[in-house]
Amino acid sequence: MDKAQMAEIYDRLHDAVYRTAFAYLRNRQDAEDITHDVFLQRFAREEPFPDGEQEKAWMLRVTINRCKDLLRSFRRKNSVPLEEAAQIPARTSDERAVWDAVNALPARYRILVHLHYAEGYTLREIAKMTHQTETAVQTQLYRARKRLRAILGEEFTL
Amino acid sequence: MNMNDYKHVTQRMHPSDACKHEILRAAAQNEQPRETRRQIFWKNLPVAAAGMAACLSLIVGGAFIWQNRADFAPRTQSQVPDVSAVTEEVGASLTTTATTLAQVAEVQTETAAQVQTTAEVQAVSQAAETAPAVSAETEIVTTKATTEAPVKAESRGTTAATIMTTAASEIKTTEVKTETNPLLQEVIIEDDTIPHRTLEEIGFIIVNMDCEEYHACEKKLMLDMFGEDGFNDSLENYAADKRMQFWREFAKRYGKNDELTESITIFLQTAFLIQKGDLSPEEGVSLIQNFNEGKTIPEEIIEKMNNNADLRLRRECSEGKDEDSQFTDMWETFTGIEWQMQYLMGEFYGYSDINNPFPGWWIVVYQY
Repeated sequence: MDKAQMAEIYDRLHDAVYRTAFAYLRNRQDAEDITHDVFLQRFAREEPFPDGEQEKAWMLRVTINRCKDLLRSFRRKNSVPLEEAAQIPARTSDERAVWDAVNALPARYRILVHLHYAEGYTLREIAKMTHQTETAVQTQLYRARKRLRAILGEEFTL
Repeated sequence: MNMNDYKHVTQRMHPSDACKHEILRAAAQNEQPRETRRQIFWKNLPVAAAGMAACLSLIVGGAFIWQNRADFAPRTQSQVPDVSAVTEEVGASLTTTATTLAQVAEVQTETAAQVQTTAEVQAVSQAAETAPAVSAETEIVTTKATTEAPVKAESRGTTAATIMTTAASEIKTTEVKTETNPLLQEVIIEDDTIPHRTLEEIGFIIVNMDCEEYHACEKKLMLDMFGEDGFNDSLENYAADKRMQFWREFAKRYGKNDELTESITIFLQTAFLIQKGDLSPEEGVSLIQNFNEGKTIPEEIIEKMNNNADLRLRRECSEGKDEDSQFTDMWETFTGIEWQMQYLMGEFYGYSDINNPFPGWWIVVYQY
């Protein structure tokens, strides 16, 4: 794979990989580290993908696995560092509130919310990506929404 | 306020430009993905251990020399002991040893002669088996030889049986790891009364229903117990004693207690002990393997399973924290357990669907 091909893949997928890693880890530096590793893993893979969507799904699956490994390896605390919170690009108070509420969810819910609402994946696709059953994903999303409603109150709609 | 707000914020997030350059540079240099901290830890462990062992040896050696420094100091002429007496003692000892060696040599010679005689007798007995005419003298020898033969055969048989047992046990071990768990097969439940005591104690209930059924049961029970007036969509909004009351009733109505739930419970409890650090992952695997083979689980482990798990949850969810933190703590704990569960399931069944490890079954985790 030459440099131009690598750059093309990076330009096409870097945001999705980075945002997914950030949704899981809530830390810029860690998310960039994961992005770095995931792309190196992608470039090392010689087997081609049938289409771009499958390639993206594969990369997000690798991202999630690497995030899990990272979290598992040194038991990160479930909190957003202050400097990170200040840099979050929310423009309105609503955006800020929803962002904070999603980030207050446990990691397993947060990643599902991100994949479904930000990346637009269906429950079935998420189930495949996260190695769970569709029912399990559905239930966790149900609980996540319930939790978000509890945090944000009646003003929050889906 | 809706999920689009989250999406909009997310869409404004990008990795730094430096990230792209770094990745492309690393790719051009054919670098491998970075190792995780865990991989680095294990990789460096032998070197670190060797280093520590060397340091420890130096310290111990230094301490020994310091303690016995008088022995290591240069000696004066008057301190050098008189060795002539010692030399005499050694000489006497050597003489005794030489005598003993001579006696041993004699015994060996005798033994060799006896061995030769035995060989001759065996040769005679073999000849007797094949000889057409049998004399009275050789008949006795033949009888001895024939009575010895079945004993040997039996002994060989025993050995073969031992080998077969070993082979069978090896095959059994492999089967545990590769084939479908027999406990996963459908279990007909006849007794669905009050579930196993420990299920309540450690904070989860195992039910046989899918997601929709579960939520319907949860709602129905809340209505039954608290009535229309007191009904609140979220159980978290009820006081702790009501929640506890609810879960006790839920366990009583819907919880299952049978061989399969026992197996699930063992997995969960083991995962819990690994997560807490009471067991190493390897010890956890061994514990489940013993359980599957019907071996007794040590008393102290059962005690830990029955007591500590619940206590830890309660402690984490109580000490001066607000409700959000309590909730997060609890989920962090259970996320950890799930990871351990995933590891254990992977070890035993080769798959790891952490949310649905036993298809068709639901593990309800509740909080106080």
